[in-house]
Amino acid sequence: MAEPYSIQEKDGAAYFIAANQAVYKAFFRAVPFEGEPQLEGFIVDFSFERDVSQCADTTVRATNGTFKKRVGSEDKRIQATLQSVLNIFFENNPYHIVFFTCDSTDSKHRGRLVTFNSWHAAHQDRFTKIPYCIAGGVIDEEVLADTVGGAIFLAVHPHHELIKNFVNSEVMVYNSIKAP
Amino acid sequence: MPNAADIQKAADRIRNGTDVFSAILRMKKEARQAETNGNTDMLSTVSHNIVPFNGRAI
Repeated sequence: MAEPYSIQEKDGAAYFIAANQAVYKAFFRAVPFEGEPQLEGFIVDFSFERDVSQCADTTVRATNGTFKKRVGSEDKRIQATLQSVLNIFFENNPYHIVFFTCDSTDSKHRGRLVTFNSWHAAHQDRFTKIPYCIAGGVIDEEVLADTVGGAIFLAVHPHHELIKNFVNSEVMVYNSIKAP
Repeated sequence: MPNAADIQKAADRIRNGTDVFSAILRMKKEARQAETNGNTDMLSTVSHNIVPFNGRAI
Protein backbone atom coordinates (compact mmCIF):
# COMPACT_ATOMS: atom_id res chain seq x y z
CA MET A 1 0.00 0.00 0.00
CA ALA A 2 1.41 3.36 -1.05
CA GLU A 3 1.78 6.08 1.54
CA PRO A 4 -1.00 8.70 1.41
CA TYR A 5 -0.08 12.34 0.83
CA SER A 6 -0.51 14.85 3.63
CA ILE A 7 -4.16 15.97 3.78
CA GLN A 8 -5.21 19.52 4.60
CA GLU A 9 -8.76 20.46 5.57
CA LYS A 10 -10.43 23.61 4.29
CA ASP A 11 -14.16 24.35 4.57
CA GLY A 12 -14.89 20.68 5.20
CA ALA A 13 -13.07 19.46 2.06
CA ALA A 14 -9.81 17.49 1.95
CA TYR A 15 -6.95 18.93 -0.10
CA PHE A 16 -3.64 17.37 -1.06
CA ILE A 17 -0.88 18.02 -3.56
CA ALA A 18 0.50 15.12 -5.59
CA ALA A 19 4.14 14.75 -6.63
CA ASN A 20 3.32 16.19 -10.09
CA GLN A 21 1.97 19.34 -8.33
CA ALA A 22 -1.66 18.57 -9.20
CA VAL A 23 -3.93 19.84 -6.42
CA TYR A 24 -6.72 17.47 -5.43
CA LYS A 25 -9.90 18.41 -3.62
CA ALA A 26 -12.05 15.60 -2.22
CA PHE A 27 -15.38 16.29 -0.58
CA PHE A 28 -18.64 14.80 0.60
CA ARG A 29 -21.91 16.59 -0.16
CA ALA A 30 -25.25 15.94 1.49
CA VAL A 31 -27.74 14.63 -1.06
CA PRO A 32 -31.23 16.10 -0.64
CA PHE A 33 -34.09 13.70 -1.24
CA GLU A 34 -37.51 12.91 0.24
CA GLY A 35 -39.65 9.95 1.11
CA GLU A 36 -37.47 7.81 3.40
CA PRO A 37 -37.22 9.69 6.73
CA GLN A 38 -34.89 7.15 8.36
CA LEU A 39 -32.22 7.83 5.73
CA GLU A 40 -32.64 11.57 5.28
CA GLY A 41 -29.46 13.42 6.22
CA PHE A 42 -27.37 10.25 5.94
CA ILE A 43 -26.76 10.07 2.19
CA VAL A 44 -23.69 11.81 0.77
CA ASP A 45 -22.01 11.98 -2.60
CA PHE A 46 -18.21 11.61 -2.64
CA SER A 47 -16.48 13.57 -5.39
CA PHE A 48 -13.01 14.76 -6.15
CA GLU A 49 -11.55 17.35 -8.48
CA ARG A 50 -8.06 17.98 -9.82
CA ASP A 51 -6.38 21.29 -10.61
CA VAL A 52 -3.44 20.76 -12.96
CA SER A 53 -2.58 24.43 -13.48
CA GLN A 54 0.61 24.07 -11.44
CA CYS A 55 1.80 20.92 -13.23
CA ALA A 56 4.64 20.99 -15.72
CA ASP A 57 3.31 21.81 -19.18
CA THR A 58 3.39 18.67 -21.29
CA THR A 59 0.56 19.57 -23.63
CA VAL A 60 -0.12 17.10 -26.40
CA ARG A 61 -2.47 17.17 -29.34
CA ALA A 62 -5.27 14.62 -29.12
CA THR A 63 -6.46 12.66 -32.15
CA ASN A 64 -9.54 14.91 -32.44
CA GLY A 65 -7.34 17.98 -32.81
CA THR A 66 -7.87 19.38 -29.32
CA PHE A 67 -4.99 20.02 -26.95
CA LYS A 68 -4.73 18.27 -23.65
CA LYS A 69 -2.41 18.76 -20.75
CA ARG A 70 -0.91 15.39 -19.87
CA VAL A 71 0.25 15.33 -16.29
CA GLY A 72 0.48 11.59 -15.67
CA SER A 73 -1.68 9.74 -13.20
CA GLU A 74 0.21 6.53 -12.44
CA ASP A 75 0.68 7.62 -8.87
CA LYS A 76 -0.47 5.05 -6.33
CA ARG A 77 -0.25 7.64 -3.56
CA ILE A 78 -3.21 9.54 -5.06
CA GLN A 79 -5.45 6.50 -4.79
CA ALA A 80 -4.12 5.80 -1.29
CA THR A 81 -4.89 9.37 -0.22
CA LEU A 82 -8.45 9.32 -1.57
CA GLN A 83 -9.03 6.03 0.21
CA SER A 84 -7.62 7.55 3.38
CA VAL A 85 -10.17 10.40 3.09
CA LEU A 86 -12.93 7.81 2.81
CA ASN A 87 -11.61 6.03 5.92
CA ILE A 88 -11.57 9.26 7.91
CA PHE A 89 -15.12 10.05 6.83
CA PHE A 90 -16.47 6.66 7.92
CA GLU A 91 -14.57 6.83 11.22
CA ASN A 92 -16.48 10.01 11.98
CA ASN A 93 -19.77 9.10 10.30
CA PRO A 94 -20.20 5.33 10.47
CA TYR A 95 -23.92 5.38 9.69
CA HIS A 96 -23.70 7.49 6.54
CA ILE A 97 -24.23 6.02 3.09
CA VAL A 98 -21.60 7.14 0.59
CA PHE A 99 -22.53 7.27 -3.09
CA PHE A 100 -19.73 7.55 -5.60
CA THR A 101 -20.72 8.23 -9.18
CA CYS A 102 -18.45 8.50 -12.18
CA ASP A 103 -19.85 9.67 -15.49
CA SER A 104 -18.36 8.06 -18.56
CA THR A 105 -17.80 11.22 -20.62
CA ASP A 106 -14.10 10.40 -20.58
CA SER A 107 -12.06 7.29 -19.89
CA LYS A 108 -11.12 8.53 -16.43
CA HIS A 109 -14.17 6.93 -14.87
CA ARG A 110 -12.45 3.55 -14.97
CA GLY A 111 -9.60 4.86 -12.84
CA ARG A 112 -12.05 6.42 -10.40
CA LEU A 113 -13.95 3.16 -10.13
CA VAL A 114 -10.71 1.31 -9.40
CA THR A 115 -10.12 3.62 -6.44
CA PHE A 116 -13.48 2.79 -4.87
CA ASN A 117 -13.46 -0.88 -5.81
CA SER A 118 -10.02 -1.46 -4.33
CA TRP A 119 -11.06 0.40 -1.17
CA HIS A 120 -14.07 -1.88 -0.84
CA ALA A 121 -12.02 -5.00 -1.56
CA ALA A 122 -9.89 -4.12 1.46
CA HIS A 123 -12.95 -3.41 3.64
CA GLN A 124 -15.55 -5.87 2.39
CA ASP A 125 -15.79 -7.58 5.76
CA ARG A 126 -17.10 -4.33 7.25
CA PHE A 127 -18.87 -2.57 4.38
CA THR A 128 -21.53 -3.46 1.83
CA LYS A 129 -21.25 -2.06 -1.68
CA ILE A 130 -24.13 -1.91 -4.14
CA PRO A 131 -22.74 -1.22 -7.61
CA TYR A 132 -24.98 0.46 -10.15
CA CYS A 133 -25.12 1.79 -13.69
CA ILE A 134 -27.45 4.69 -14.47
CA ALA A 135 -28.25 4.95 -18.14
CA GLY A 136 -27.54 8.31 -19.72
CA GLY A 137 -30.13 10.39 -21.50
CA VAL A 138 -31.42 13.92 -21.80
CA ILE A 139 -31.93 15.46 -18.39
CA ASP A 140 -32.80 19.16 -17.99
CA GLU A 141 -31.98 19.62 -21.70
CA GLU A 142 -28.46 18.28 -21.20
CA VAL A 143 -27.25 15.06 -22.79
CA LEU A 144 -25.67 12.92 -20.10
CA ALA A 145 -23.45 9.89 -20.51
CA ASP A 146 -23.96 6.67 -18.59
CA THR A 147 -23.06 6.94 -14.94
CA VAL A 148 -21.45 4.10 -13.05
CA GLY A 149 -20.77 3.89 -9.36
CA GLY A 150 -21.91 2.40 -6.12
CA ALA A 151 -23.30 2.98 -2.67
CA ILE A 152 -21.17 1.99 0.32
CA PHE A 153 -22.43 1.55 3.86
CA LEU A 154 -21.73 -0.35 7.03
CA ALA A 155 -22.43 -4.11 6.79
CA VAL A 156 -23.95 -3.99 10.28
CA HIS A 157 -25.90 -0.80 9.60
CA PRO A 158 -29.19 -0.90 11.55
CA HIS A 159 -31.07 -0.03 8.33
CA HIS A 160 -29.04 -2.36 6.10
CA GLU A 161 -32.02 -3.98 4.34
CA LEU A 162 -33.82 -0.67 3.98
CA ILE A 163 -30.76 0.89 2.33
CA LYS A 164 -30.28 -2.08 0.02
CA ASN A 165 -33.88 -1.96 -1.14
CA PHE A 166 -33.82 1.82 -1.36
CA VAL A 167 -30.78 1.88 -3.67
CA ASN A 168 -31.85 -1.09 -5.79
CA SER A 169 -35.38 0.23 -6.28
CA GLU A 170 -34.12 3.70 -7.27
CA VAL A 171 -31.71 2.21 -9.81
CA MET A 172 -34.35 -0.09 -11.24
CA VAL A 173 -37.04 2.58 -11.54
CA TYR A 174 -34.69 5.37 -12.62
CA ASN A 175 -33.39 3.29 -15.52
CA SER A 176 -36.89 2.24 -16.56
CA ILE A 177 -38.30 5.79 -16.48
CA LYS A 178 -35.37 7.97 -17.51
CA ALA A 179 -33.42 5.77 -19.88
CA PRO A 180 -33.96 6.60 -23.56
CA MET B 1 -34.95 -7.62 -4.19
CA PRO B 2 -37.09 -4.54 -3.48
CA ASN B 3 -40.77 -5.18 -2.91
CA ALA B 4 -43.68 -3.45 -4.65
CA ALA B 5 -43.94 -0.78 -1.96
CA ASP B 6 -40.23 0.13 -2.29
CA ILE B 7 -40.58 0.34 -6.06
CA GLN B 8 -43.70 2.51 -5.80
CA LYS B 9 -41.96 4.89 -3.39
CA ALA B 10 -38.93 5.11 -5.70
CA ALA B 11 -41.20 5.79 -8.67
CA ASP B 12 -42.93 8.61 -6.77
CA ARG B 13 -39.60 10.17 -5.82
CA ILE B 14 -38.25 9.95 -9.35
CA ARG B 15 -41.41 11.44 -10.89
CA ASN B 16 -41.23 14.31 -8.38
CA GLY B 17 -37.49 14.77 -8.93
CA THR B 18 -36.84 14.16 -5.22
CA ASP B 19 -34.81 10.97 -5.66
CA VAL B 20 -31.13 10.48 -4.89
CA PHE B 21 -29.87 10.00 -8.45
CA SER B 22 -31.62 13.09 -9.82
CA ALA B 23 -30.14 15.08 -6.93
CA ILE B 24 -26.62 13.75 -7.53
CA LEU B 25 -26.77 14.34 -11.29
CA ARG B 26 -28.14 17.85 -10.67
CA MET B 27 -25.32 18.61 -8.22
CA LYS B 28 -22.69 17.39 -10.67
CA LYS B 29 -24.25 19.42 -13.48
CA GLU B 30 -24.18 22.59 -11.33
CA ALA B 31 -20.55 21.94 -10.46
CA ARG B 32 -19.66 21.48 -14.14
CA GLN B 33 -21.47 24.70 -15.07
CA ALA B 34 -19.79 26.64 -12.27
CA GLU B 35 -16.38 25.38 -13.38
CA THR B 36 -17.05 26.14 -17.04
CA ASN B 37 -18.43 29.62 -16.40
CA GLY B 38 -15.99 30.54 -13.64
CA ASN B 39 -19.08 31.55 -11.66
CA THR B 40 -17.86 31.92 -8.09
CA ASP B 41 -21.38 32.63 -6.76
CA MET B 42 -22.55 29.33 -8.14
CA LEU B 43 -19.47 27.59 -6.77
CA SER B 44 -20.34 28.75 -3.26
CA THR B 45 -23.87 27.41 -3.75
CA VAL B 46 -22.47 24.12 -5.00
CA SER B 47 -20.20 23.89 -1.95
CA HIS B 48 -22.70 24.89 0.71
CA ASN B 49 -23.87 21.37 1.46
CA ILE B 50 -20.42 19.91 2.11
CA VAL B 51 -20.32 17.43 4.98
CA PRO B 52 -16.91 17.81 6.70
CA PHE B 53 -14.83 14.70 5.98
CA ASN B 54 -13.10 14.82 9.36
CA GLY B 55 -15.96 15.69 11.67
CA ARG B 56 -19.24 14.22 12.77
CA ALA B 57 -22.12 15.45 10.64
CA ILE B 58 -24.91 14.54 13.05
